[in-house]
This record gives sequence, structure tokens and C-alpha cells, in this order.
Amino acid sequence: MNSTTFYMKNDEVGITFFVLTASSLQIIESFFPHPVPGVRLGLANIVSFLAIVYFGIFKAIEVSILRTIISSLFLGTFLSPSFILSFFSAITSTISMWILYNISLNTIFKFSPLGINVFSAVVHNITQLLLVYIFFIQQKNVFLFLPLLLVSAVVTGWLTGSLALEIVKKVGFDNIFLIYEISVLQNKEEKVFNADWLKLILFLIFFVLVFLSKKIHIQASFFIVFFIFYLLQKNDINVFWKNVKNVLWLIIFSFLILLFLHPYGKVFLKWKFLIITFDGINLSFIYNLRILNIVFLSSWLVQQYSIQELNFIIKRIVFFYPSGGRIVSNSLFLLPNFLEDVKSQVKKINFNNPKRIFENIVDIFIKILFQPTGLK
Amino acid sequence: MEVRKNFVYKKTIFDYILIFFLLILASYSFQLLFYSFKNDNYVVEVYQDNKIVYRDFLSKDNLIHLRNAVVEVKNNKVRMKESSCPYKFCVNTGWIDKPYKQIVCVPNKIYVKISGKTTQGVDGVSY
Repeated sequence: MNSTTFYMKNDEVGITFFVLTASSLQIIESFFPHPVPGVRLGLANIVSFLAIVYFGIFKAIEVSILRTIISSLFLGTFLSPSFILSFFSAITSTISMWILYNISLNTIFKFSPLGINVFSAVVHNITQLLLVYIFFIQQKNVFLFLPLLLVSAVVTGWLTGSLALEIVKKVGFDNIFLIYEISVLQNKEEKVFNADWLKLILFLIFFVLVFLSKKIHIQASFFIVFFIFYLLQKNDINVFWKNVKNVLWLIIFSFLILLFLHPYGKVFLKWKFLIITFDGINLSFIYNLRILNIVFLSSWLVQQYSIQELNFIIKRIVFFYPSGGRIVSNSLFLLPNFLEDVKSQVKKINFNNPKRIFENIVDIFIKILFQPTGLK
Repeated sequence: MEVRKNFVYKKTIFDYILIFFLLILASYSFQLLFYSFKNDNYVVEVYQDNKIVYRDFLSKDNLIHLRNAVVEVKNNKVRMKESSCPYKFCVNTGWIDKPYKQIVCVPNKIYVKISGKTTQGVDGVSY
């Protein structure tokens, strides 16, 4: 047996690499188009599973929380609707993974990583739907997507699970593992920012107000004020458009659901069995304006603060959890190089030979997770 | 190492059972959703000039202003509150609260009805 020594001076280093891999996968995945709304491959969930296997549940939750924060900071979607969705569903899917994994370790109900990943993907999608229901569209009709999401979760979970299984098979538990150069991660001297807390407080107040108000004229006036303010401050409108594109499926579906599946209230139009009501139109405008207002606020926040400043603020807010702040700042420092590394690895895949693609992906995973190179 | 020994390296029967169960759940949820749109709750429908103008649950209180008339929904009952018609048959009908009861106002061409499942059972018994 190939018995290379396994040592890791500091758990933080390993977690940093896991976080980096997961967030770079999430970033790369976000560049690809999603033909079916809400359906994603979820390659980053493989990393969560591996973190459970090699580090345990608490570190895995840490990885899944930090990766959503880092990828959103990098993409400029921090605190936007898509961030809220991915943040909570990453946590629940990781916990569900851990529960099933523990069951398969300790009882006679043996689930392989395939089953575990399928289950976690299902939990992930159900959580997303529930979050949409709680935060954005308070209509039972959103659960119409449940069958589609369940079936797609089974398919994507099967794929990610088989990848995870192959990786664990190849890496094993006792041979080669984690020899990271710790010197890479030594913290640079940190700049101390004079964080502008007033803006943050203002942001939080408006964030809560936008969530709470359920009147169309309040939401509309918020929207107009934000729009004018956004343009007057000479913020980049392209950032706003980019964030809107991320939640476009949410906007379109909330329109469609409320227009065609809300036959209660004063009737606006009736054709055959289709009933469009004024209430439905009103509600669809409220929900969409709310989503757009949150997008406005988040894209404003991202432009008011640089990534380092946001990182600094996050550190101050989670002062009781210093290792998390360190991991975030280290990861943000290393991410651009790491992303390039992953991209160059992905480009090496030979797509002409379909049988080899799977093995190639497994190799890439092992390489970037356990033998990171090209950093410095 | 206990983890190494107990880790499952092959697909097991439980995986397939889980997936089977989830797919059944998916199909069942489809069915469930289909039925959830057929509400058992009573729904008030108001027509004027043969066109539907209002449709909502009986439990939702509302005041519906129509041409020459006002319909009131309150405490799970409906009535014609005001009407401009000469004999006020519709207003005198009073509150209705059961399915297939209806309020009709011929001069204003208004038709109020409650739709929904009727309760199983007899209306009354005579000896």
C-alpha cells in the first residue's frame, strides 16, 4: 500500500482548501447557462460530502457556510436573493448528508455515497422551495415545482454521488492525504479599515423594511427611490442587471404563477377556464418589486464596500469566531490564483473521449483538493 | 479506523429503495398538488351581465361594489347589501351561506352564488 505520511498541522489549512475548491466550483458553475430554472449540478456539494467524511460535521457546515459567502463576495451577489437561497440550503443539505452518512456507518441501513447525495440534493431543493415560499412568493402555487425539482435532484444527486464515491475510493482513508504548504497561508499584514458602519445600518434597516412591507405603493415607492438614488450615486447599473439575471427565473415564475393560478378576488379577465384577477396582478407586482428592491440593495452594498472591507466587516460581526474570518480572508486572497488553476485543469479534459471524462473529473478533484499546486 | 471499515463502497439495495421512495414522493406530490387546487372551501362567485366579476373564498370578508349594487361578504355569509332595483327582491333574500343557494337581481343582471361541495346528509325529515 502506498503509505505516504498524512499530516496536517492545522485544520484551518485543510478547510481553506476545501472552501476554495467548493467556492471555485460554484463560481465556475454559475458561468454555465442553466436551461431548466432552479436545476443545478451542485458540484460544490461533493466537497461538503468529502468534508463530512474527512473532517466531521462541524467543519463540513463551516465549509458550506464559508463557500457560499466567498463565492457570493467574489461574484458580487452578497445578500441578494440567490445568496439567501444558496446559503440556507447548503446548510440543510449538509446536515441531511451527515444524518444519512451516520445511519449508514452505524446501523444496518447501508447507504452508499450515491444515496446520501441523492437525499441531500432532494433536501437542498425542498429547502430552496420553502425559502422561496417564506421570503419571496407567499403562494402555495410555488410547490408546483416540487415534482420537477425532486426528479432533477435525484438525477444530479446520482451524478455527484458517483463522483464522490470514486474520489473516496481513490483517496482512501490511510494513504496519501493533505500535504499543504502552510507558508502559503501565512496572513499578510492586514489593513485596518475605517468601516463605514452608517451605510451598513442604513442597508439593514431598508433590508428589513423591504421584507416586511406588503403594500404595493410602499414597494413601488421604495423601488423608485432606490432607482433614483442608485443612479445619482453613479453606481454601475450593469451590476444590478447581472444580479437580476441571476433571479430572473424567480421573477418570471412569480409573475406566471400569480397571473394564471390565482383565481381569487376581483376578476380582470376570463377566458375558458383561465381567470386573471386584480389581486393576482397586484400580488405579482408586490413580490417582484420586493425581489428587485433586495437586488438593488445588495448590488448597492457590494459597490459601496470593496471585497476587503466587506471581509473586514464580516470579521467584526463574527468576532466570536476568529478562525472563520481568517479562512474568509485567506480564501479571498488565494481565490483568483486558485480559480485559474482549476480552469486550466478543466481545459485539459479531453471531451473527445466520453469514457474518460468521468475519470478525468475525479482526477481533477483529487488534484485540486489534496494536491494543490500553482499557488504563490 | 472504524470509518474505513464501515464506509460503503458499493451501491446497496437501500440506495435503490431510497430513490424509489423519492420518485414515488415526486409523483405523489404531483397528485397532491393537483388536488390541492380543487378547494373544498366554499367559493363565492359574483356575475354581472353574464360575466364573472368576483371570485374568492367565503371566509374572506369583502365589500364588492358593482354597477347599481353592493354585495357584502362577512362571517362566512353573503348578502346583497344595496341595490337600485325597484322591488328589492335581492336585498330581501338576506344572507346566504350554503352551496347552491343563490341571490339573483334581474333588473341589474346580477347573480351571486356559492360553489363548493355540499355536505352529505338529509336536509330535513318529515313525519
